[in-house]
Amino acid sequence: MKHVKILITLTATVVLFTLAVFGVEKLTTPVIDAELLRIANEAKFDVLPTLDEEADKEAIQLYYAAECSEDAEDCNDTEYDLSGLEYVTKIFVIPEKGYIYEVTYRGFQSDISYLIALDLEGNVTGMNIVSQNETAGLGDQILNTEFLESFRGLSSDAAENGDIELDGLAGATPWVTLGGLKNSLNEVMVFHKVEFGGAVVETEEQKLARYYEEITAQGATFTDVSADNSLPEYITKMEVANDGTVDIAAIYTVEFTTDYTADGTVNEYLVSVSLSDGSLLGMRVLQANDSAGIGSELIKDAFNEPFTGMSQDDALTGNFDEQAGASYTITLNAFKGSLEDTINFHKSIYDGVVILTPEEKLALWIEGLEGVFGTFEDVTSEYTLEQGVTKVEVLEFGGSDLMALYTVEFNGYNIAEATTYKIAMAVESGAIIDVYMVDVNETDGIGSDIDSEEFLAQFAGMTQVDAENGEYDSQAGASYPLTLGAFKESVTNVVHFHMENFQGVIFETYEEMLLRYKEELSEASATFTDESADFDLSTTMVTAVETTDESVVFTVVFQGYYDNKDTAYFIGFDKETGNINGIRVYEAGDSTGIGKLIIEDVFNEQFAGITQDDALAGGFDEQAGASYPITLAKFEESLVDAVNFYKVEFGGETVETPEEKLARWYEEISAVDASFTDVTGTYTLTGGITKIELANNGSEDFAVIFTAEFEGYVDVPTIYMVSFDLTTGDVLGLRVLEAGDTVGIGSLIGDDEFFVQFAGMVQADALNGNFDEQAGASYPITLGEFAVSLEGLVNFYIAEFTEEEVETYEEMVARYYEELTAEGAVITDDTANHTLSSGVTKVELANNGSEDFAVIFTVEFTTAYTSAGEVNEYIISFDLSTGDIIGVRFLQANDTAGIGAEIMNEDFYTQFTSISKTTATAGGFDEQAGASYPQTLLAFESSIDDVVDYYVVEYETPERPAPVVTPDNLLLEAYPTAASFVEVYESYAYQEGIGNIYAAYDGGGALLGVVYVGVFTGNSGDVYFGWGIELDTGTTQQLSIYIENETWDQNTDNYDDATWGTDFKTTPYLDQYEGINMTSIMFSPIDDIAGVSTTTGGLNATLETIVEYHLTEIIGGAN
Amino acid sequence: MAKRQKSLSEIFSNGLFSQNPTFVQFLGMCPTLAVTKSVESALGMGAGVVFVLVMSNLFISLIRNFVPREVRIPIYIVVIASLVTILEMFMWAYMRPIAMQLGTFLSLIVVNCLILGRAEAFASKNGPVKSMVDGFGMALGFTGGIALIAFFRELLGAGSITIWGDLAFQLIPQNYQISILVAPAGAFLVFGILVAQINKLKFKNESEVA
Repeated sequence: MKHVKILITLTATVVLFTLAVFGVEKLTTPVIDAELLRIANEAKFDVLPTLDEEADKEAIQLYYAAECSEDAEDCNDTEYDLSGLEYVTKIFVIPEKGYIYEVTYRGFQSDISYLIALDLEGNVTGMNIVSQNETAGLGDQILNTEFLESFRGLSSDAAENGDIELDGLAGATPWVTLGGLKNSLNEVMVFHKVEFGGAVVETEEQKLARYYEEITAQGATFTDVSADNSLPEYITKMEVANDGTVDIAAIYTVEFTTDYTADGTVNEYLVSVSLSDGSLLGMRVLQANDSAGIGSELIKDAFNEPFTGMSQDDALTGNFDEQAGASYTITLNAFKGSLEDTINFHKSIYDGVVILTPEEKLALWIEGLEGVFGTFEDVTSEYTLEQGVTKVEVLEFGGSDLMALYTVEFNGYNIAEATTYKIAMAVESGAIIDVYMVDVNETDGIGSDIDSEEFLAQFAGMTQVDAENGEYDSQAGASYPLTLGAFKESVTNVVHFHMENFQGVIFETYEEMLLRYKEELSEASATFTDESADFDLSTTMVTAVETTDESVVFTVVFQGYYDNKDTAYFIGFDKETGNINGIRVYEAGDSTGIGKLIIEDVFNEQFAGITQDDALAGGFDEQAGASYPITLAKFEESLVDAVNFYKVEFGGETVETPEEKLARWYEEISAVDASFTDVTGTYTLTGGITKIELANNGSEDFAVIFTAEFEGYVDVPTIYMVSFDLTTGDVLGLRVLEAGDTVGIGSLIGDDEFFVQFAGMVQADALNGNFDEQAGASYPITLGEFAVSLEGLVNFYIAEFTEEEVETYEEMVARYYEELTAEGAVITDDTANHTLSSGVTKVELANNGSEDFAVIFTVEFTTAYTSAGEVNEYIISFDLSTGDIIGVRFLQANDTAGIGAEIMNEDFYTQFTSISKTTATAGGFDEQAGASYPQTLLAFESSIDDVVDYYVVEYETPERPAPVVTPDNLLLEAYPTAASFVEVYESYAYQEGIGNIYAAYDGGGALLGVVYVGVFTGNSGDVYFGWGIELDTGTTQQLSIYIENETWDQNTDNYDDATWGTDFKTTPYLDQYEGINMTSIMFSPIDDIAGVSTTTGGLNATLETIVEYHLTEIIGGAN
Repeated sequence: MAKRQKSLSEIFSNGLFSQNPTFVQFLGMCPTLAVTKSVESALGMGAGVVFVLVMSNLFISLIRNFVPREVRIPIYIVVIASLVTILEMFMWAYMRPIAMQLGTFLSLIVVNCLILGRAEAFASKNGPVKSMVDGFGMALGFTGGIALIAFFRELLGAGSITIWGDLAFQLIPQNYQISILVAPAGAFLVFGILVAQINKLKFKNESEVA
């Protein structure tokens, strides 16, 4: 009933409100549409300032509309081809004034509509975003007036290459928002140029023809040879280029796609491979349809150009500049693979390198095996197939079988799809001849490594015995244990199949094996009597009891890692001595290669002849078989159970009950025959303490016993008791009553081995966690929580049972301050005089009576593992005279107990005592001290780095280099209209890259602007230059290079474009920076030139620094 | 012993002053910091919140006895989200400039914790009239709070107060404006200073009483 009500209420609410929303939508949509229309109309006047609202109302002609309105009058037929328009939704023509385009494209989360107007000369007069709903602060940066203004004056000539650059728009506008803007602007510009500008824009065909020439030779002729070669499907066309005398290159048109390629499209490129040396003559991406602005960047010239003249090796190994075009890894990898395939195809055609299909490869392998001996004959039908063998073939020679070839399937990690391989064996010796992977279906890069040459190579010539026993290097190829385990098992099975069928070896059946095992555990040819029915087996893991004259054999079954898969073994006892004859695991349900290893002989053999006590104590070699801890722990549990069962039923012994054990433990950690008084009620319990008892030896209370609990890795409490000697305060003993953490891992804290170490431990060791954590190899989180809990108990003991006082937090902090400064140092809070950053929350000075000699920062940092609302906090002190770190102390560490929180460990932080800043920031100190978790360590390291930087900024501000004094005649080159210059750098902040700043005045003494003297490291030495900027408009004057020693000569193959001249000082490249609005280099950076990228890149970076500096210091500051 | 019922005026003033969402409860911080660049957008946002909060409190109060406990939150969300959608449509239709200024924050009224908070804390336990009064008081308190922040930010940061273009007056010449106040960081600064002042007044009152 309840559910019905819930359902009805929910449905009714949703329906009701959906209707309401629907109604309101009906009501408001027309209003919104009308509003939008009005806005769009008004915006027209903004973008084309010459438009007069009244006068031109009638003159505006709708030239084109993507969607006709109902009266269809505004759908003019035109003589122009409008079919290619994807983004332009409307075009208005205003005779003698200009043109307005309405454009809509899909942004990141909305359709973005804008109007852009061009005057009669084809220059942009204005741009206006009509509607958008992009993310505030990111995508909506396109609304930025400054950004929109930057388009004003843009000429449609700029679209000559169909390429308007918008990179680097300030404001971190997402590519998705900008990418579409760029594409749509290009469409407008190209369309405008063609239709209204009278200019001819290269058609697709012309562009393609140009590409062909560019990647071969001018005037080359091309012959389509696709039909003469059987092309793989990714190569759609193959042509040969002839330069008039000889064939020079093969040109391939290649397609490839990735998961990111737009549906129904492909990425396509042309690549020409030289017929003389196999190098690439050139590559041109024709279409890039991966994510706009990311994968699609492949189409950029910067990406394509470096392929010209690239050696085949570089192309094959992907040794090209991936950053050119900043493309996405997935797209690049696909491209690399495709290029490699194409080059390999080329090699197969021209260099006779044969590329084989998988079938051909296999056939070749088999041919290699057959050699001169004949051919394999399929004899599968003669055998009963088992063990994954699906096909048996033999090679006969000289009347007898020479070689057997098995096709085998097995499942490794992938349970759904089998992996198939072929294995060839010499019939007589059984030696392995070779292994061939036919079809590998394991995880790529992990299990699939089983197909690696390195791994398979070791099988050639392997003896039958080695193959049977898996005696080969599993690490070769570093495959995943599950895959390897399954493969080994499969090989063993095949070897057995071979031995049975060709070598006449008869393997025992499962039943025979069981019988043999039982005989091995008792005596040969014994008669077994099943006495299971005589015992109550309901409370034990023993499932069957069989006896012989001299022995008793139990069958024991338990579940290890998997709750539903049994692991079963026999255990034999000698009736006379009660010793264990041995153990035989005959069924192992846990993971192959891990928990299943318990079935190995090496594991079982260690139990032969051991005493019951040995078996109960555990401690046998767990590594024998390298099994998984959980499997082992469960095995041990079952072993204890089986031995105890034997003791009770056959040894006539009694087994200690839990109550007896507890009583014994009480005595063990106090004294024999001691009496105990519960005094829990007398104390306020803290720190997980649940019980407090006093132990009395007849004359006095000599010990106190605490029972306490804590939670380690899981939510189940771990309970332990610990006793303290009331005279010495030392630990008398500790026992874990219940271990709540993961069996075989955290639960190992319950092992004798772990807790015996506490007997007689001095208090200080218990307090500081100075005990062997490895004893029992428990999990760090369990141990960490245990150490915290024990520390709490010791402190409780000290506080309640001794005269001593526990150091309070405040006392500890005071001690830390002394340790980090000097005894008796006077600490004053100096925080108010500093701007806090880098996690520093407090700045204090330490005074030794005469001077401030050290500074102490209190610093906080957090990681993803820090408890919510908490921080890690430490104090660090610096010696003010040397600048070295005096030391670090943690006030609180709130990352995971036992892992990240171990950073508080003294061993860890004392490493930072008396070290230099360089040592501190270099990292490389012992991260294991304290065995802290990498995340916490990394965060701490970066915090230390920040704090050192902070110290340097606050206390070691570097001296400012001397300004670069520049004579007036050089400054005049940068600011030709100025008459005099005054050095002003001193009144502004120092900035690396700026050598000096001069104010430029005209003849009348009025301030015109500034000249920046910039410095950067070029390809050969420092480059000095001057750059004038007009103060009012931000228009750049001249960019004059003063000192340089750069190589700037296209003849030496530094760059490809001859238009840039042979002298850096006079290159027209520099003209691009002159007479422009300085901010434009931020919005649309001027490209670096490949080949001289150090020079041009350095220049660009320095100029950007200057613009930023100019904006913040000169304009933004007090000029 | 029934708890003394609060009078309507107490409920109303509760939201305005003693439990002011902005300065006392610190609810709806995201819009508080984001739309307080100008008084106009603060008032626009406030008006939106008044509408949504009053209506949502009314609806939720009306259906409070029919709503099974297990699904109350989804139902509140449906109610609030629908109201916001309706509000959004109306604003885009009739108050487009403000809607554009508020942008995403308009839709984000849905997740303004003030709305859901009142639904859960008040409307689900009280009658429709009281709930509406509570919603009105809280929303006005919120509006007042963000308008106050916006007032200082716009006045000191941009030098003028512009409300629907009619009330524009340039008060502070450009050279003396504190332009960081209209930058995002300014929101934190003004907010922090105002909270400090309000707490100062509050503590002063308390100590005087004591």
